[in-house]
Amino acid sequence: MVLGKKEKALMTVIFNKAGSSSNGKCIMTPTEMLSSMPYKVDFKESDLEETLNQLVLDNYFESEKAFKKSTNDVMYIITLKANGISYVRDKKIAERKLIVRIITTICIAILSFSVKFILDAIFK
Amino acid sequence: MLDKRAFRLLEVIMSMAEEGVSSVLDKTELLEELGEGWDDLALNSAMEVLALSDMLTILYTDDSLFCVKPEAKAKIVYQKRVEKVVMADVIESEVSATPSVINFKKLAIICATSSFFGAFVAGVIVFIMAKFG
Repeated sequence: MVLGKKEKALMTVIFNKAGSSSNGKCIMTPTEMLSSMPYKVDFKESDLEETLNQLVLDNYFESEKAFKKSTNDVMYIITLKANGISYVRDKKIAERKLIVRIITTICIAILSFSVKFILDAIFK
Repeated sequence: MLDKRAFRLLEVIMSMAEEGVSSVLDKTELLEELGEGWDDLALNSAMEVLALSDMLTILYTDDSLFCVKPEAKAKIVYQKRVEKVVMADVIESEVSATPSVINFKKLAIICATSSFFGAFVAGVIVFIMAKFG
């Protein structure tokens, strides 16, 4: 599955928190999520709900909204699903595939270039 | 069947959370509300009893908090319990307000006095009859 920039950033934040627990669960406030975002990603508070819903639809995790009565805070209980658990692994595999593709493309370009030289040398 | 501790915890939870709404509850807050005789271990075990009895769903728990969703069953049990306590209070107050109909002490004194005088009168009659009969 191809994730957008905002989705990747949020998924990384969630994976860092939930992935470290034994049951793949974590509880986070919107403030916690936003404060853990890298500065280079333009992520607004209004994007949070929508991005979470998209990741839920992509089967990365389950999300449940809870309320803390004492502070009136909204909190998200997140449980990683199969896609979410293998998120980092899939990311690494995708990166490796990309590197292999780039190397293959460079090799083919060099080969084509050398074939041109060989043909030039033969038919001179 | 829930024990007293589980009922007490249910009471506290129902005062802090609504039925069907996921609520985050601090363990320290819960322990404060529960009062003396409760510790972390007792709290965890009572919470487990409530979860096993389908009173609530534990969505998340860690060292410092619980996230629970009380089910409809919990509300029914809680309300019944409250009604029962209110009814018991009403009955107790009615019983204490109603004066006792039979005063056994007074009755005993009357019975003793009456039987003494009855026997005395009978003795006098028997004496008169024997003397003049």
